[in-house]
Amino acid sequence: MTPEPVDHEPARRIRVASIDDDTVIRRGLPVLLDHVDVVDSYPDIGEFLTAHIEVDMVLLDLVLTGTGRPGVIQGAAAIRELLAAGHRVLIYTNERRRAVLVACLAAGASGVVHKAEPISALEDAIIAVANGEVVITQALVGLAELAERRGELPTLSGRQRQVLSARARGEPFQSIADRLFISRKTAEEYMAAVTNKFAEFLRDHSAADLERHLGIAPGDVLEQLR
Amino acid sequence: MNAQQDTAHPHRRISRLAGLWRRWRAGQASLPTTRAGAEIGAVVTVVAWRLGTLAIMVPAVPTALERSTRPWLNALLLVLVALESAALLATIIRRRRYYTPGWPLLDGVVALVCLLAQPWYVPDNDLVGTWVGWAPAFAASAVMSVATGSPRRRAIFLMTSAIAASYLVVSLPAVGHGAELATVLSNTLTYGVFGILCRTMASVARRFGTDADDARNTAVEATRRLEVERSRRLLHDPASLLRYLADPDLDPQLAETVRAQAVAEANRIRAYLADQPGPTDDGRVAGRQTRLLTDAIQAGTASFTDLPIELLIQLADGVAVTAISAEAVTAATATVLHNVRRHAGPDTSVVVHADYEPADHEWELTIRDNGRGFDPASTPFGYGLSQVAGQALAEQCITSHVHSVPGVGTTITIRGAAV
Repeated sequence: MTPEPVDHEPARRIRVASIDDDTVIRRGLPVLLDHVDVVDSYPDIGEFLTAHIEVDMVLLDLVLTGTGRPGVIQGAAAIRELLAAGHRVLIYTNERRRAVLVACLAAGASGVVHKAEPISALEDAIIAVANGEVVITQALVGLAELAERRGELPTLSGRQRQVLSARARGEPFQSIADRLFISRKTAEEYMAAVTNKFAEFLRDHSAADLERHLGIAPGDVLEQLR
Repeated sequence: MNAQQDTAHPHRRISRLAGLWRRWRAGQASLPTTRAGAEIGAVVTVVAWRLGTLAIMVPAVPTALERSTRPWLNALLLVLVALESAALLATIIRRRRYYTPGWPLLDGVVALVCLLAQPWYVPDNDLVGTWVGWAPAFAASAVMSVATGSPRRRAIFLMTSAIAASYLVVSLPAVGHGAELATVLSNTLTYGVFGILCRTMASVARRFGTDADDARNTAVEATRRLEVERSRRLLHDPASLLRYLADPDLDPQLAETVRAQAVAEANRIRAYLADQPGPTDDGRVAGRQTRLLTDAIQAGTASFTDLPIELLIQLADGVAVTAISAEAVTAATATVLHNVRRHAGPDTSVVVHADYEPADHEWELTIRDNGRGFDPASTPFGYGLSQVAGQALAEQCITSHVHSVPGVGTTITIRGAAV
């Protein structure tokens, strides 16, 4: 489900770097993103880390083997390398397998955006991550609801549970706000709190725990985290 | 119900009617319709009563003629009664019904004539309580005949009253000549009681018959409508597929999916034409079998790989529903997704979400798209939403609700009880 556009404008333009093995993505993003600056683009982690550039976050593709270069770091290992270098990571991918996405967040990524979504959704996600939020896909919202039902997110408030339940069903923020007699911004804040707590839950639990709590096939998350 | 005209020979008609009556009593034959059966029952009752009355009169005829004050008149009236009875019985046997104003009136008039003429052919001391004075017994048979056969209540009342009054007038002179006044009065009342009883029983039987016929016709009509509905539901989704397949500009990627669906739909139609029993064809079997709700939902979404569907149904893992409910859920899901494909517009994404509330034993399926949406107040639901996703679910006690906002999208919420 396409994220709804956020209505806040950042105080300064956000600087991002793109790491993607797809040339079109690398060349296209700087042209397509109007509200953020794509400082530079790289085909792999090594080139980016060598460049030592200052950015607010890194847009990371999960699969980087398209260039054919040997020894390319990708997936959870790439996320950990970027985090170790002090970068926030927003996954920009076509990957939809839940185990893979869970592994990304468990490894420390700040969010996931699918390449099939509109460019505005990517921009909104970048702004949200820059504001310290965690951005998750609809599939992960479903997993967050599952975790909440199984008692794994005990600190959620009643309102946060209501917003999570509605978002899991694909209900837009405006509709949720109208139904619960709150502002849209408040609804978004509730959801932001939920996604942050869900991300913490993913980071704080072992792969085996996640697989058990989220109904993911045994070994799948662990496999992605290796 | 119109009378059935039978052109067969009279004795063959009687034997056919008797055979039908015997088989019906043995529970081996059904009557053409229940109203017609009630009419045949009335005919049988009138015929039996009249023949019984005449049979009882026969042994007394010689004595009656011997003691009659005017034997020729007595004989003439006996012949009149025999001829009129024969004509009446032959007619109603041929028609297989006795519900007409003419014959009961004639029967009553003949009885009245016989009654009123009694002072001229029956001695006073034989007027009450003897078969020498046979007219009161015949009049009782006539009251029964009038009450059973006449469609008009006023005619029945007048004729019964006239017969009772005639009996009273004719019999009163006998009081003091061996007859008790109480006997005369009781016999007079007997006509009224007979009239009311026979009229009531005949009316109840006819009413039962009519109601049963109405119920049968309603059932036939309902079955016909069900069959039409089944055909319409069967053809609804294939119609969408045909529309896509007929489009020369169909996206090749979508075409592959649509063709796969078309094969599945063709098999479904072939099974229908071959009259192969499916889960919905045997409610008893389907009612006992269960399936997982998640399997039913996945079956409904399986053919829509061209749509970006987010399937979030883990909360309903392990929830079982009857096989017939599962089929309805699968059909409804597929129909909703057909609608999304056809109406929601490009770049539409869909969330299919299932949940289960153990406390209420209730599951909920939500199918939400962020497509064009529509205004339910001004846009009536199509056949798919109203019948396939609505009526078919309702038949399994599953509720469905459609919420749509133009420009925002459409949500279909389906709720039912778990097994």
